[in-house]
Amino acid sequence: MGGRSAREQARARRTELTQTSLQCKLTGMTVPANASESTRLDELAAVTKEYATYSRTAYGFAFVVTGAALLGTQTLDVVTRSLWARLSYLLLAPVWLLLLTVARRYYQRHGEVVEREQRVIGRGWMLGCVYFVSAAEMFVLGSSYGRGSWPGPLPAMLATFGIVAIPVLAAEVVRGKIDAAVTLTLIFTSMFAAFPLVPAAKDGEIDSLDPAISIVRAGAMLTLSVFAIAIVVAGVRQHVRHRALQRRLGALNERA
Amino acid sequence: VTEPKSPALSGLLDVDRVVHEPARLAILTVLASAEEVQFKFLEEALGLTRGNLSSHVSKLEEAGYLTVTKAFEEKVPVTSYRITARGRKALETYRAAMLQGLGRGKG
Repeated sequence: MGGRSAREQARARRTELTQTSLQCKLTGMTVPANASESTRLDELAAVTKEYATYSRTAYGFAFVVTGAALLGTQTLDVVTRSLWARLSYLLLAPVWLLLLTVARRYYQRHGEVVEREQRVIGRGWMLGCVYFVSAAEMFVLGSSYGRGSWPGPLPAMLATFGIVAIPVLAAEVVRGKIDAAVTLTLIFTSMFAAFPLVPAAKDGEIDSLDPAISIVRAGAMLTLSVFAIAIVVAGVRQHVRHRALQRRLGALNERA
Repeated sequence: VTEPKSPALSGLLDVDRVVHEPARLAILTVLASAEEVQFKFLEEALGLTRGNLSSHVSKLEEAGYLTVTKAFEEKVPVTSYRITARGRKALETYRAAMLQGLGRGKG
């Protein structure tokens, strides 16, 4: 059996699919076409979309560390009931932001790609924020109310501003680019929010005997725990997915 | 006597040659999948040389299909690209023409 004749080979070449899934090579096409080119474009689009999520909605290990730190702080708070344990909640905000910056650089080390904003993601984040803000407010107000240690209108106003601003700004940071101005704003609002917490916990005891307050506080603590576990799970999944993405990106490069 | 061209064939023959080139088609596909893409990622994903990539990007920029942003990050020049509405439209039109040519279009 000899090799195929030149005519047969030419015919085989003509019947191969092109990069646009055509049955023949079009005039003006400068690169030899092959059947997998159309698939490659689809894969290219899919890989780009997934890679882009690591700019706005996926932060892998940053979520894992933040979630674990939040759970650790909660445990410390419950066990020690100290002022420092409560203040450490507020330190989580700047730590989180710092981790987001590091995570973005790590996961997008092949060049930055900004994810296209999708309305569904935006709504989800905003709903999450509203819920988190409500829980945080309940937490602070619930632990201050009825203890004769309410710090006064100005710190209370600053606290409310800080508690509302932190998660909303954090969500904006997650959805958009992190810049120094936003990071500083977050750190300062965290500091403002710290003021009313100091008198609220100065005796080293923050639980109230009032059952209503206890329920509010328990609800807020539960919300924080669920939030922490959710971001740990999401972070692990994103990290694993990123490893697969690396392989897909490498394969694309090789095929090119 | 010239035979009348079918609409599908006519669509194929009239495709936008700027988009039709495989490397430029791949660049537009990547840009259409994100809001902003850095040069480094395009280089990595497409496996093109810097010179080749720059040349294709310039042609797309001349056609008004993408915009270029140049900035410095820690004294390192960083170039980013965004697809324009015109570029997105051109890519969609091209895809539709190809699908119609193959008889896979809606009509």
